[in-house]
Amino acid sequence: MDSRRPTNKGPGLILLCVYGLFALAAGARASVQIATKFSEAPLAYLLSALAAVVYLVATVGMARSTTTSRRVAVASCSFELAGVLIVGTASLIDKDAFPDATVWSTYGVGYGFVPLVLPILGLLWLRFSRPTAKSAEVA
Amino acid sequence: MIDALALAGIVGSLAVAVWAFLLCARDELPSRSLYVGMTVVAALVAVQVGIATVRLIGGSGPSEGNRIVTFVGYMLTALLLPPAGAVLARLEPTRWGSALIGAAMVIVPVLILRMQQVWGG
Repeated sequence: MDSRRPTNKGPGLILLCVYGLFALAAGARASVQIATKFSEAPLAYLLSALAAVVYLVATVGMARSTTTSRRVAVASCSFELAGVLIVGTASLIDKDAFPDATVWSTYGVGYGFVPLVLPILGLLWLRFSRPTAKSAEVA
Repeated sequence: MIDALALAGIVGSLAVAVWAFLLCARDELPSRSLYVGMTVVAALVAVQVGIATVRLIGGSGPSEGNRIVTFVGYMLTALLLPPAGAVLARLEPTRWGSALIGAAMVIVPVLILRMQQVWGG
């Protein structure tokens, strides 16, 4: 008997809600920036849009909680962790390359460092949860 | 935006958040009164949003297009977050439902603060 919780239940539900909110926040921010002032900082705005898509994929992966979707979620969370670390470091070293902030700039300081903490929590939770059992297995 | 109303929303929301996390710590599912507390916060936000909408149409607040879009985005998120949190907490009638309400009630003050920032420029 596997005592671990399904990925989309318990604390995982909160995690995937926060993920969804970040997908919305990053997506909305990127849309406004790309629509109104794309030429000012194309790299930063495209990165924000990419981050939004990856957050969305991770959200759906956790919400579906199947074996495959959990793998997709692990890949998305790993990508995010790499993204926030690489972009965070790059934004500190070369400020000129990032004239406007992204969700990942300076390790997500503009969002209370949640973008740095979120993928770590996501990966831990995916490690300590299990796929949702199929109805046949429950019965 | 009305500062007193924003302050009431922020303080009320944080109070409900503390309450929700206490319930989680005591391994209790969201109580009926916690949902009532959340409804009060949602009502404060709704009144604020209503007033802001009227004033925005009247020409107050942000004037540039992208700031108006940003403000409306935060406004809608603040309006929808409490009911969405309540629906999801109903699906999780465990301590984690309480924690979920706590998380939502921590995010609402952030949204109210951002609305004030965008409103004032």
